[in-house]
Amino acid sequence: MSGKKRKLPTVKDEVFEDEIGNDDFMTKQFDDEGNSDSEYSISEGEEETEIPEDDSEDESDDEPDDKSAERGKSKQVNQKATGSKGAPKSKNAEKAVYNEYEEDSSDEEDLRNTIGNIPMNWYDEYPHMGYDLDGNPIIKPDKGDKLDQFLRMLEDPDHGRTVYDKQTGQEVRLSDADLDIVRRVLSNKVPDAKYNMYSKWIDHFTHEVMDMPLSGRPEHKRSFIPSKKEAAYVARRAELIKKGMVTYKTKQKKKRFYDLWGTKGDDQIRRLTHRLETPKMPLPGHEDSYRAPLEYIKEYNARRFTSVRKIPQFYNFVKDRYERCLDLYLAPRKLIKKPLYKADDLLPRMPKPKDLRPFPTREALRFVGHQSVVRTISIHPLGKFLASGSDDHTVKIWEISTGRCLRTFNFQGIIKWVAWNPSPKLFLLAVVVGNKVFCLNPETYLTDRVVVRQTNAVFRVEPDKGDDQIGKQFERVRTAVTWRKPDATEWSNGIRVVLEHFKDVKQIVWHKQGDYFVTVIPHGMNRSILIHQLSRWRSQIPFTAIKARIEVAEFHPKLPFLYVVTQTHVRVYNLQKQTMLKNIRANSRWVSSISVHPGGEHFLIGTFDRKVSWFEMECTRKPHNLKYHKEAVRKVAFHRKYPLFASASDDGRIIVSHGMVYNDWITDPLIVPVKELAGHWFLKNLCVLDIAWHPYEPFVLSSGADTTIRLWS
Amino acid sequence: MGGTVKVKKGMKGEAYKYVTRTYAMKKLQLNPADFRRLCILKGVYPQEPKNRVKAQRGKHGIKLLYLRKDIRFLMHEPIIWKFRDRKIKRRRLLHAERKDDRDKRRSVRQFEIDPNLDHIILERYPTFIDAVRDLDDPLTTCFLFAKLCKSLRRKQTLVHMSNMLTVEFMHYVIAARCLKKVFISVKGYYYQADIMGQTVTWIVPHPLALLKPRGVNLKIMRTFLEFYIVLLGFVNYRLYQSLNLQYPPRIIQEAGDGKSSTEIGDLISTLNRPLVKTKEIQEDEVQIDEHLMQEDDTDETILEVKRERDMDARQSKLFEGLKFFLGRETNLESLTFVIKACGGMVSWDKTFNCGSTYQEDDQIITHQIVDRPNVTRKHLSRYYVQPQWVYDSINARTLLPVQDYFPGASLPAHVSPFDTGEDRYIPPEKQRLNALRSGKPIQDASNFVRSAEEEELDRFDDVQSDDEDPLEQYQDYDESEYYKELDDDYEEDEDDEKGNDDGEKKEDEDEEFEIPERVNERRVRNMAVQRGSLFKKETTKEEDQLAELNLRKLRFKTKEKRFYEKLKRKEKQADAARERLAYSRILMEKEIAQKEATTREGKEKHFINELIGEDIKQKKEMLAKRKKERMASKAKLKKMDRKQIKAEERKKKQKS
Repeated sequence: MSGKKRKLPTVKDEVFEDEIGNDDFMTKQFDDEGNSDSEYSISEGEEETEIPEDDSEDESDDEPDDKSAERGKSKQVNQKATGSKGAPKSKNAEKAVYNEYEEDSSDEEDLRNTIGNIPMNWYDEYPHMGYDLDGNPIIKPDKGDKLDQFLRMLEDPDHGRTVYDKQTGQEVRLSDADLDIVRRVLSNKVPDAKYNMYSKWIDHFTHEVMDMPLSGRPEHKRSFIPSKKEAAYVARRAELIKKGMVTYKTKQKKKRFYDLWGTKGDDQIRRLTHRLETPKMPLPGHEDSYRAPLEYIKEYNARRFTSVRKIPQFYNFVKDRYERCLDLYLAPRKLIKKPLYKADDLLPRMPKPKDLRPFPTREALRFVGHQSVVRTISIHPLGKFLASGSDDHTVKIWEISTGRCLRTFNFQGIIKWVAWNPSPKLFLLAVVVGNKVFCLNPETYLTDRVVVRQTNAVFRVEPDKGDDQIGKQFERVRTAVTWRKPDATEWSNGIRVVLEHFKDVKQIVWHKQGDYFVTVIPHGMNRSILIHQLSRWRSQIPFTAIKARIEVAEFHPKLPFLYVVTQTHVRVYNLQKQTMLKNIRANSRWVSSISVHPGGEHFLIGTFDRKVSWFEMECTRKPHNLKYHKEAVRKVAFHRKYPLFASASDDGRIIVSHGMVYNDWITDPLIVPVKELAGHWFLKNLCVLDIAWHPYEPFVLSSGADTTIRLWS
Repeated sequence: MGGTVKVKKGMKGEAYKYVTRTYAMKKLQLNPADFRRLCILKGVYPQEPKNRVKAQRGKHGIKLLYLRKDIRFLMHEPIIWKFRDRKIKRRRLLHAERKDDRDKRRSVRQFEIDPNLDHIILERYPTFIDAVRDLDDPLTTCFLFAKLCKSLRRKQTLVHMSNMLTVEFMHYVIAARCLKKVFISVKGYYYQADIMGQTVTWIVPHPLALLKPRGVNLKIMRTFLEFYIVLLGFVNYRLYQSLNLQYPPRIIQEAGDGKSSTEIGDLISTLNRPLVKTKEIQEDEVQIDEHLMQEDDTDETILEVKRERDMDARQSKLFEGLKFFLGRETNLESLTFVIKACGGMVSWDKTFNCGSTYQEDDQIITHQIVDRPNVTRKHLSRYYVQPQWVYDSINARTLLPVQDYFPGASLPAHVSPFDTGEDRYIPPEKQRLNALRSGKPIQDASNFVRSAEEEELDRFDDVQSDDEDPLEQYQDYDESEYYKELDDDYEEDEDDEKGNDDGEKKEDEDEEFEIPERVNERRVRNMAVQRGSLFKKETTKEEDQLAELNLRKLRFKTKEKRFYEKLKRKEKQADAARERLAYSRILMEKEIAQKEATTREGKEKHFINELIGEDIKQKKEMLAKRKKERMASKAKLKKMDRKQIKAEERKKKQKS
């Protein structure tokens, strides 16, 4: 029994500690109570009944002297507070010390004013402040003026603890005990210091079975029969547990992070396969540096702090990140191919220059001697001589291998065209001056004497012109052109035959055998093309009607075809059958020149609208338009032997190209520009005027407005 | 029957492939906020259609278009149910609050919704490497939140987590020694590390208060952060595993360290304590069998790879054996991280922060990092340098000369170590950095490191050599003139004609043709009437290349040419920008020089330079001597090499 009794307080202690926890306020109060903890520990082993005695002993030990002293003091103050009324009252007070009921008197008894608990300001206007028990008005005590009050305040040492009682109108001095109470109330403590909040639990109603029950009623049956309802519940529950339908959640502390990629195979997871990777953030450049190089300061407004310490916070850091976040989930993504290569990597591959050789690469010789623009040049079919015609009214014959000028012939007019006779048996140069065509034998000391003699012999006698010299056709020809023998001076100057046309001649083209030649008269209307036969001094007009102005003409190298070039078209005529084979649109506004491939299947066209076009005779494919030049193309020319062609343009360049033609009809010709040759200088927008290939060497000769002729090898 | 089956309009092709945002939200039955969340977590983004008009079915404006496939894929995402649960919970809570039903409120609150994102991470990043590759954004975002101003920290747990994870990551980088590049920009500190073969770049803001500018919706960023935290956690775990480190990290404590959890957390975040390993394994670095590569030693690429590897190793051990002491005005975290990642030791004043290992009086300190202009240099045994030295050294992969970085000195420019396009202008500082980085020509590198005196002398030398060159040219010129005169002499006596024979010769040579490089001089001399001028112009290689380039341009087809020209234009612009920058640098340097000249210090410097100039002859002689010595030593080495090689050959022969 006693053991149980003893146990109780300890249990309570534990509960108390649990509840209180770490609450500072409570523990503080607990300490204030004065070693109560230790008290418990002392009292643990002792009888319950002894506890109150202990308390009283403690208090009596500590406080009796203090209390008596306090009481004494409070009395004195009271005297002083009321002391202004005089001595008799003080006598009463002295008597009252011995009156034991004085202390016991309650507040209500002490109250003399009978008005009750009403606001005192109702009496502000009256001299009295209520009524005493007898019903007489209580006169307000004389407070004195402010000065008196002040003086009193100074004199009175207890001023700080006096309180004005509104109901009695008196000043009451608070005793130490009163002050203590006030203090305790202010600090949320129990006002009475002696009160023990945690006094020991006194078990009034014990669990001991009383010997004599309070009532004699027998106990109810249900108090000892187990509940059926509960049994059913338990059974139901047990069954559920057996079935495993009830599981108890046990809170397991899961590891937050684990080896995610090691645990699961990633094949089972469905995922999007077409994801575009998140684009990486751009990396900072030098301009973002805190101390950027000097040059970035002005160009990029870069910063240049003197030390790391001085860098301020980047205000937009959060914003940048925010925008990046927005980009990540809101910006439409797209795969864009960015060219990582340089522009020059895009350039089409060139076949190895080695494979394309030989071709002229640089200037080797310069033929100087003309006084004016050299309009036209022609190379002798044996490749030894060069004839050139210039605006200074001269034709010069040069030796190609050395560049020496061998002879000079003077004419009365600008030399429009020179062309060597291709026949090896004749040494003859056709020169176009105005409306005249001179057939010239420019014999030099270097020429083959036999050939020269042979040539002279041919022209000594006028040939028989045949029978059919009458008729309309003949009349047309006669008015267009006349053949005449040169006079003696002309003969001595080398001229062998002179053809006088009705209008200015632009071009002369020899047939490969050297007997026939064609003259082109651009303004000749229907008679703008004339075919002449040298051996019989005869001319004919092949076309009865020509609608367009004719620019140039060219013979087919193998077949009896004639290419006639108008401004926009190329017409191919079969001279034997006297039919037009083809009429090809040149895809340009103004054709300047034509050159037929020695194989005869292809031809080149140079145009004034800066193009060079490579045509096939069959015209099965589109022409290759080679837009190499920046200015009008003056002349194009095929090499007779090598797969080379060249084009000269007003932009001052001669472009030599490799043009390989394959025997099978399927493969395209391989056209590769291989060399730019520039060297002629300009004269009033004119530069290179004529080019000609050496008949068997890979040399190209060009004449220019700078009065020179150049050999490129 | 028969006939073609007509497909309804908008059920095929581009129009069917894409779906607008509103449609997607309707289909998924989500509100915009949840849809946004889902998109962020699942990494679904709108895509640019090939044909917008068709994809939008002819509607005006620009709409956000998602792939229908993506949206269908999202429909199966279990996390959508979490969103719905959350919505219901919120509604119930509101209801209970309005009814003032506290019990219900409590019970509703107890219903936890665990937004588990693990499966999403596994789905988005099938392999670990994929996750590492995409680590830039997670790191930057986490660092941002870790350093965010306190008032902006809404969800403290997220911020705490991000702080923890970033510290863990930095610990990994330190332990793995994989930091490659660092850059102090105006925006923040850029770091680049090589993790598992992937370059990962992240930005850390400056260590000052970060403020939220207007127009920033932190909610969106928080969603990102939630995902990134999970991702970074798993990545960290795996990274720690790879180094046999314990995860979560534990530190090896030293005497005097605090034992409470907060103190330990602080210590971890100072980065100045080593981590506990799970098991001590002796690491054998896997070596590539070099003898296999030896045969192709001449191959440039292999050499390059080798050099790169050596330099890399050098960088990771850059600060090994050096002891740093950081001043309290420096950025502690960054410097500690950077120095420790290169093998250095760091400490700071113990009153400044916990985790310091030694104090300022320690005599073993080799470098004290100081960011103040005037520092009383108490100790002579150490260098006092500014923080930039550390960063520049790491980028250069060598310890740079210290004198440029003394406190109070005007620092050299801090250039970006990142490659930002070849065609851009490269300032000289960057060129220098590149040279140092590659470690290719050691002589060149030493050139850069040489003292100012030597440089000056070299400059003097250069000037002289420049003078010499034109003289040589003149000599050449004289010779040619001389020959010309000779030619003229020959011209006067005209003689035989050999041209005829030559022509025949040419005909003979027809078959095997050669381009005559020069015209025979003799032939030229024997000219008859008037000589054609002869040209023997030798083109330089550059000219040839240019000519070839021009010819290649001629072969373009029109379309390609247009593209080419566009590119070319861009390149030209880049060139122009480059030139402009170079020019502006010259201008700026001039300006500075002028300014210096006006100031007293500048004048003094000038005066001193002049004084030095008097000794230049002596110094030049010295330099010449040194050069000779160098050459001699090189020759010796070569000889030695040859001898060795010969000896080896002999041995081989003997063996065989």
